[in-house]
Amino acid sequence: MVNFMKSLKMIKLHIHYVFSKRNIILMGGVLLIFVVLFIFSLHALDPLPVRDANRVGIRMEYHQNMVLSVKMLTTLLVCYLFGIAFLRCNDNYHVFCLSNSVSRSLYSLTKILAVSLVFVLFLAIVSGMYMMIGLVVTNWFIVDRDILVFFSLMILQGIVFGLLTCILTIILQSLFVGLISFGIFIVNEILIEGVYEREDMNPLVFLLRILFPNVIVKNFEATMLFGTIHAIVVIATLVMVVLIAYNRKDLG
Amino acid sequence: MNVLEIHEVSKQYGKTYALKSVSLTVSKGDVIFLTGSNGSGKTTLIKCILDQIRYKGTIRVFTNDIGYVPEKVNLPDFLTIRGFLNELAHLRKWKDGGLIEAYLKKYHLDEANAKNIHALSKGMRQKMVLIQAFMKDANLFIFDEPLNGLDEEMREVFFDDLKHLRKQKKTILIATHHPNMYSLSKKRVVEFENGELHEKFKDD
Repeated sequence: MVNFMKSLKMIKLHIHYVFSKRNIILMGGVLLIFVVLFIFSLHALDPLPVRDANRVGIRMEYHQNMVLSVKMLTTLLVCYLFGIAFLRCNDNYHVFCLSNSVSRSLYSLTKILAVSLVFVLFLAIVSGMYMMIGLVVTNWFIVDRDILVFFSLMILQGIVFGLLTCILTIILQSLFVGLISFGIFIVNEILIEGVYEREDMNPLVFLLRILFPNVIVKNFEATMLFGTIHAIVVIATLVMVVLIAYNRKDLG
Repeated sequence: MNVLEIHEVSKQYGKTYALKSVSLTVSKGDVIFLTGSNGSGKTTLIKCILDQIRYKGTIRVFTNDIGYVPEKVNLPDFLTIRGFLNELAHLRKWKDGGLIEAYLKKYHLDEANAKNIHALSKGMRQKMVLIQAFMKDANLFIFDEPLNGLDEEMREVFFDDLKHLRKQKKTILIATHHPNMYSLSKKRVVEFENGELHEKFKDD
């Protein structure tokens, strides 16, 4: 119980650090890009009869643009958030926290939770904006289960790539390692294009999918090839690696 | 009674030695100044004591907690001075009892305590970091360049607080380039040179 309360206090402190001036500006900027993109994807400036006539095409375009932009931008953002949080110059406030009662493991674990919570909040805002803009601009948009499933799976995928960045940052101490994680994500996306069955995969694609589960969207339906349990196991494994790396590396 | 025992501690970055077989014994109530040029190993030793970096050798700390003022530290932009100190108070289970208010007043931060940290000057931030260390009920205090950004008046306030700690028989380690800090009585001054430590002088 004492540890639980301490963990909550640690998470709260980490969240204050995640919401730095720089991060808020960056997240605000990304949200603005989403708003513009969603509005333009709905052809909001076209006359209503034109939009009504192209309803099916616009619906498809709105959904596809959302999937692509959310995958790209949120993965990039989550890599940045995890990377910057564990960069030595930003992480040096551990001196206020680490003591006999707060171990490196508790400190790093609560930090992972704090960044993940901020990421979940960010995705919740993006999904809310997507649905709200759809409902306000059109008279045919409906909120269905597939949208919620997609955003839920994006949480898992984002945390996987965030944790990968986290490990690389702890080891290499450079913000640019986020680009390595993002690069792996892009390669993964390109390789999986059109490959939806295990039998269709070559060994490299199979390995990438095992190590870094990606969200696949086919006919509006979002899934993960090996399921959510697999993604959770990957996350748990990566968390363990982060804890080991954080315990072994120099903090100063 | 020893508070800190450092025995044959070495730290290497690549082929460069930041610390070379450093040994130091610190007794209760000692005030020790760590001096030396930039990059001589003062901060590295402090980081070893705080277990922030891995090293060869042995360091034994015989105290429950350490009050620490780092040379550089990241602070949350959108917390107020009071808010930040409260967060730390909750985390460390301080019994505030008006102590935060007293320190804020003493360091002339009482009027600025509602300001967000990103709007504070370097000196104000440094005062806040000093306060969080003094708020700790520790037996060992470590200050790494504590005068950074402080004006003359605040330096005097800080010296007063050091004297107060000394009266309470607290052990103090200070890494500094300011010789005027040596005015504290009954101190030891140790000098670092290329990672090696030499006792410079010791008051009786």
